[in-house]
Amino acid sequence: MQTSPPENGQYMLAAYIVVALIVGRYALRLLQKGWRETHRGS
Amino acid sequence: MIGSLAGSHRVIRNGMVITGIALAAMVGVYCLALLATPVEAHQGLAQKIVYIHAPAAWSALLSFSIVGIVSGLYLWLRDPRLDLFAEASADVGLVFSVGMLTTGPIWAKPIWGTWWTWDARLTLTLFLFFIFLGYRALRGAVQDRAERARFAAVIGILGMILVPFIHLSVYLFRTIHPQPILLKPSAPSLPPEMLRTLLASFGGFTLLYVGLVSVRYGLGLANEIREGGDAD
Repeated sequence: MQTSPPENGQYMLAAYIVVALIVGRYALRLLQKGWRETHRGS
Repeated sequence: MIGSLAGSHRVIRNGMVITGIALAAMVGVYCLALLATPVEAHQGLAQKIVYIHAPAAWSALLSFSIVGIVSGLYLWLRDPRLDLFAEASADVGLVFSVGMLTTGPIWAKPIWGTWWTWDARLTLTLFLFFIFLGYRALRGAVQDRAERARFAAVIGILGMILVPFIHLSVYLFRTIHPQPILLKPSAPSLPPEMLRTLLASFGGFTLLYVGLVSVRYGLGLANEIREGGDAD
């Protein structure tokens, strides 16, 4: 018997947003610090 | 002598370029996973969490394994750059761990019916996270550089010892967590479209690890050179 997949897209979206926020925010902060460090005094 | 300020800036710049490419690749992976990968019949859209959960776990375990290896090398060679690299890898590993430990429960809720269970794989992973939180706290608490590096190296090696147990925990213990789908002796157990997306995500996360650890290491190196007055 063919059954349709369960409706649980909200969990997928939550997980994708959480990773984007955690990893993305850390990456952007590091990039910002890296930029500041390499452009210090210039 | 741990190098020149110009050298550390070169490492940071290279890391920033790699991080930029990796972030663009991650956007591509998100699009691939959400728009061009089929929905699994039994788990529905929640199964797509695998494309970020498994690579985040891989990157976290890779980071912590590298901390252990580099820490062992530090205890042998006593090169302060190795200690700085271990610190950078641990920092990045903690970020990926938070990604792994948050997406896991979000996936578990619709599939297992619970956010968390004290299963061997989950518990060991949580303890690994705590070990590296302790590693970070230790680094902040010890002022003497050589002593801090030595103590941290021991914790780093002890943390790394947990990594193979985490990977093998699904074979060693009766566990609710699924067995590996990629890192196993037999062929990957996924349809080709899903495998393609998962491999792309593994690649993206690994590249992101390389980029982030390079920037973090370069920043640590520059800071150390400034504090120690070791610049060219």
